[in-house]
Amino acid sequence: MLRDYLIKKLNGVFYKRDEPQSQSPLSDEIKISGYLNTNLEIVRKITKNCSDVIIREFLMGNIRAAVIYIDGLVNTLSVDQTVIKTLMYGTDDNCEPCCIDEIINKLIVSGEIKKVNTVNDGFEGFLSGDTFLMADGIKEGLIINTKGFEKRSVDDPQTDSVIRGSREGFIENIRTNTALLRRRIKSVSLCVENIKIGRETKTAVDIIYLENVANSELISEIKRRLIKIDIDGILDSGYLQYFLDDNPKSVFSLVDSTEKPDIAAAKILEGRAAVVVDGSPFVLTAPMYFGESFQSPEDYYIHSVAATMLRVIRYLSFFVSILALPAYVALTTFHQELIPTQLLYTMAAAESGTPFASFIEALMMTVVFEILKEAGVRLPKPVGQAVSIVGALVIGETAVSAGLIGAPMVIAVSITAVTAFVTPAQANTIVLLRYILLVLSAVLGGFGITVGLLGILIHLMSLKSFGTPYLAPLAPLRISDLKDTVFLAPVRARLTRPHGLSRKNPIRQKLSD
Amino acid sequence: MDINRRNMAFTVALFLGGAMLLTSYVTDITSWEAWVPALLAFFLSFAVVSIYLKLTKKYPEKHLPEIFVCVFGKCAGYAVSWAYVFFFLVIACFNTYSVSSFFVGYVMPETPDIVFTVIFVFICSRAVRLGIENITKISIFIFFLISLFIILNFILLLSQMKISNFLPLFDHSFYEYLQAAHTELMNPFGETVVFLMFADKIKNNDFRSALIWGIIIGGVMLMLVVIRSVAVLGVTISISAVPSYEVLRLINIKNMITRIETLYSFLLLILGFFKVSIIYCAISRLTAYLTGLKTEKSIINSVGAFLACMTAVSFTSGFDSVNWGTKYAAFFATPFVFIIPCFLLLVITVKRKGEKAK
Amino acid sequence: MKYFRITVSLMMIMVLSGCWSSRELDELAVVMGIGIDKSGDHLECCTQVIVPQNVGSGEEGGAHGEKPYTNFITEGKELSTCISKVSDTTGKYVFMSHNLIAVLDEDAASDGIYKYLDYLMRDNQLRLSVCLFVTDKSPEEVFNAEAPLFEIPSINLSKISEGFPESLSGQNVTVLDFINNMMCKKKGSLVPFITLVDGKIKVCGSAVFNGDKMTGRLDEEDLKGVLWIIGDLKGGDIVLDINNNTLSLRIGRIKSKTFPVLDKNGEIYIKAEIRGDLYLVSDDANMINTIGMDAVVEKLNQSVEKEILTSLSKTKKMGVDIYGFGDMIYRKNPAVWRAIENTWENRFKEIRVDISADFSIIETGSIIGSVKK
Repeated sequence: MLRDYLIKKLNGVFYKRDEPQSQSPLSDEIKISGYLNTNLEIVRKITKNCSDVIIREFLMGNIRAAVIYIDGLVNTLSVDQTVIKTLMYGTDDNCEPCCIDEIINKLIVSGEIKKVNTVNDGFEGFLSGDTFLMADGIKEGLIINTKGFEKRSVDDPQTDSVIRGSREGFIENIRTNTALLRRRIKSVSLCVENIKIGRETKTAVDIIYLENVANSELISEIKRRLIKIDIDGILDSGYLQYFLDDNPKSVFSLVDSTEKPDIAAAKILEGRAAVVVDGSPFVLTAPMYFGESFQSPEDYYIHSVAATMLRVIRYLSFFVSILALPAYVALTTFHQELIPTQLLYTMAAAESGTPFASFIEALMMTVVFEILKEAGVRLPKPVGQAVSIVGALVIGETAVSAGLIGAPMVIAVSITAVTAFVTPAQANTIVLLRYILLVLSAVLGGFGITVGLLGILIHLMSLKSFGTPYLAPLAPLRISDLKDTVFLAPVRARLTRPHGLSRKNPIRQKLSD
Repeated sequence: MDINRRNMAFTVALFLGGAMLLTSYVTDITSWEAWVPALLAFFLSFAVVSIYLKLTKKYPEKHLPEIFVCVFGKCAGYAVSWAYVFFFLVIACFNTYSVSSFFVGYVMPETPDIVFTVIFVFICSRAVRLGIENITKISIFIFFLISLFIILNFILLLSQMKISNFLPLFDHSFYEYLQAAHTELMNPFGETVVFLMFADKIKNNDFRSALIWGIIIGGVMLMLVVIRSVAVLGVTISISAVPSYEVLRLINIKNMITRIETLYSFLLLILGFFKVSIIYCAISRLTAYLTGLKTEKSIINSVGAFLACMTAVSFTSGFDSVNWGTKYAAFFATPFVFIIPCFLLLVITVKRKGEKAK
Repeated sequence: MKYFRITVSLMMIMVLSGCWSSRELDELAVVMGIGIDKSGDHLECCTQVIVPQNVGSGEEGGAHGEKPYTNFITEGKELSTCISKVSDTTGKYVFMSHNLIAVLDEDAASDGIYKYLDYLMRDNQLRLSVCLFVTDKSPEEVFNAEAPLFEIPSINLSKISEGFPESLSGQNVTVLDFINNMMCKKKGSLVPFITLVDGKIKVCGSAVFNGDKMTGRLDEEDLKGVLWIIGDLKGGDIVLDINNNTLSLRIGRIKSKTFPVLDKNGEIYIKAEIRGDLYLVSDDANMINTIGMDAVVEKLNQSVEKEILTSLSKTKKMGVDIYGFGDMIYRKNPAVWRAIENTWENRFKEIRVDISADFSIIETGSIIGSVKK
């Protein structure tokens, strides 16, 4: 009820009308008539305000034809050479194409060709970067693949960096992304299913999975959720993340995202599905369980004992990050008997000059750190040096010597802030949890923190991602899956896929001698 | 069915672990020989639990009120079930109050106990909303964490343990042992009657073995705690209010790992939370069944509010609740834990014999 | 909407009603030591409180040259009123969780210390590992004494007490040990006795407590003999006198077993077996090589046995069972104990103790001979 109330307030008068109005001029299907002029009239009327739509008329023998394409989206060389040139020079008065099949079979050299009946499909085609061919007397049109827009080169991804492992990252082009995955999984059963989502953006979304491994219910559920979406545009995979989520109200995201193809390929091999969205370098994988945020591809490439140590450090950093500051506040205000005596009088000496209560100091320092982080993301490079100096010196040093903050508080806040980045997948949830626990600890000390942790645990227990419990394999304890949570078993011991992800094909490796 | 056998066993063990707070009842009477009544209660509990197991054998996969209705008929069955609602409420109330008064007495003295009670009952209600299946799923994980902590501080206290603290063996009269064993039997072990409420969510064979294993594991954990307290404190255990807490205060490793008793209080909070959640879940299911509701989700908040209010008015101070626990709790619990199930079994046997005779 | 209201009301309970037990670090007066001084009916309590700003590791601490602690003297009828009066003087909340020692003066000790111990045990903040001391000067002077190597005298005293097992000068008596002794069958306690010499702390022997009253003192020599039997010795030096030459030995590990033995005639006597390993620390007359190791060890055993017997006779005269013989008898055989319980004081004065010491010198150090011939 609260939710409805808020939605009503946020959306004003239009809340009652739940059908978004489609205002497209192409709301009806317009068939391609045999008359080129009529077709071109329609096209010109709709695109009269678009200066980048090029309509090139030419003659195929005696038949008038026209190609429509958008400058900037096409590879102009390809349009000129494979479409216009072959049609112009390949036909003369004697051999004119009588139907569209002849053009396809004998004339046009391009690989990807599609026949269309309606102008709508033609628009869809040429708005994506293909060329739309229409000819006089032929009641069908052709969409020829001539895509050639500017795209980023495959490069080191900016978010998931590793020391050992591949440095390729996904880019914004969907074909390149699927190609990066295909290069790694050369399996016959790798399926790439396509859906277009978004009324105005018509974003191409690919669902990639291994057919002989992934559960079919998972794939059908993903497709069902995606097809249900009725929105005007999808700009990034982040939008889809919240449509695919089982429980979007929770701060814990139930769908993982990654920028590296080897992570996505590993997840597909385990039986999950990857959702690639055009225009976004982040690929979603479903289902997700909590332990995945602590996994890094490097763990699988280095020795398992070293990987176990790294995993333990990551789990520890997660807890330190959400608990360090609330525990510090609780210890100094409620449970001073927990602090060793020597530390106690050092901290008392440090805190004795400060005017604010511990909780206010902690809150102020975390907010200041968030501000610095946000500024650091957006600042232009020339200014970067100055801001980091201001941040480090002013906030840290000078605030302490001015007597505004105690030195131990600065240490606690910096530890908290730094450890948050060890698990980037959960970075945003950590911030929120930290504030909640901070308030609880300021009010009720250790009791508050324990109650907060229990509340978080209860919440985590109720989360299910596409049917798999979020806290698996720790909460419904499954010993066979413990080989990949906190402790990482060596490669030769990892014989099965995680439970439940692949009912058809759970074994991935034979026991070697 | 819904609950796994292993999860159920560890839930029972965790439930028994909730009694670690209450070891002072046993140590009051028998002082340094507290382990004897604890051991005795452990063995006697198998006798008590075997009654429950026989009941579940005769009526597999039926929970408590259903068994009463089958045996006693609708009116009497409902009446006895309402009595059990009262019993569970009193136990839940007592445990909640123990946790609150512990916090008020030891950790944060100035806070009024209502605050602890209300927040504690609120978080328990959130857990109960998840349903008993999910509570059992977390239990293994939490149980391992807690047993790790207990074993760790057992090891840390090894240097302060003295065998001579156990020494004059069997110096008390048999009657004193029996009295202490009776208290110990009713308080943690007997309260496992609560699990009969969940017998319909788990396969019968699983339920039976889970109950036995849970009691074994939980009993061993409790014995470890009692032995540790006795070995360190010796004779002074009889005057400590919460022996485990006093014992933990003595750990001092290199001035770093010192004063960990406050951590112990949070552990107690977690244990108490599980215990009260399970009893709370049983109360809601029972009330939902007796009032004809399909599911217990709608009644959880009301039961929680009632529980909080009842806790707030029942005891006047921590001393009051300890007093009640030492002297009267065992006798209050005996009819519900032992006498009524025995009577039930008797009636069933007589009925069956009667039917066979026909 | 109604869930929204419920949640908001719960939030309000938590937040608006205030945080009752929350105390900032600078609102605390951290008490490190408690001293109890009784003269007649008048009870004075001296508490040593840390002044954090002057602690050396702070930035301005050393420069000021001020002491990092202050002592407050408050008076009242009971210990609890005295301590609560400290907050009247300081204006801060008296925080006793870090309290390490309790120093009692002789008068307070002779009058019976159980009521102070009851306060020390019952309070939720104080812990059972607080070390006890008795002094003949006033606790205030003890707290003001110099502590050159520690910043705070209370820490100094607690470290001295914790170091007793390694020094043969006393026994580390915590509140837990004292209460344990009181609850054991008529066992007395030995609480370290400190005095001030030139403003510096000196440990001289122990005070003997019967139950909770102090009944006498043991000086250092006699104390050594007692500690052989009851002490948990891990270190300490002893001097052996052979033919006017002295030998120093350091204790490595002592295992002493004391147990009651029931004779065929129903007589009870105590057997004390002391076994241990010692290190040779100084032997300038080269006794080891001249007389031989066995002879040295023999003389050592005899000397220790003599020491124990002398202290035994002295303590028996005092009439307080500090060794815990009665407790040992009870633990071994409760029925026998119940028979002799009432006459234990007299029995203790005449009880026979068989002592056998059996040491071995395991290390002779880095030099094997002597320069002097």
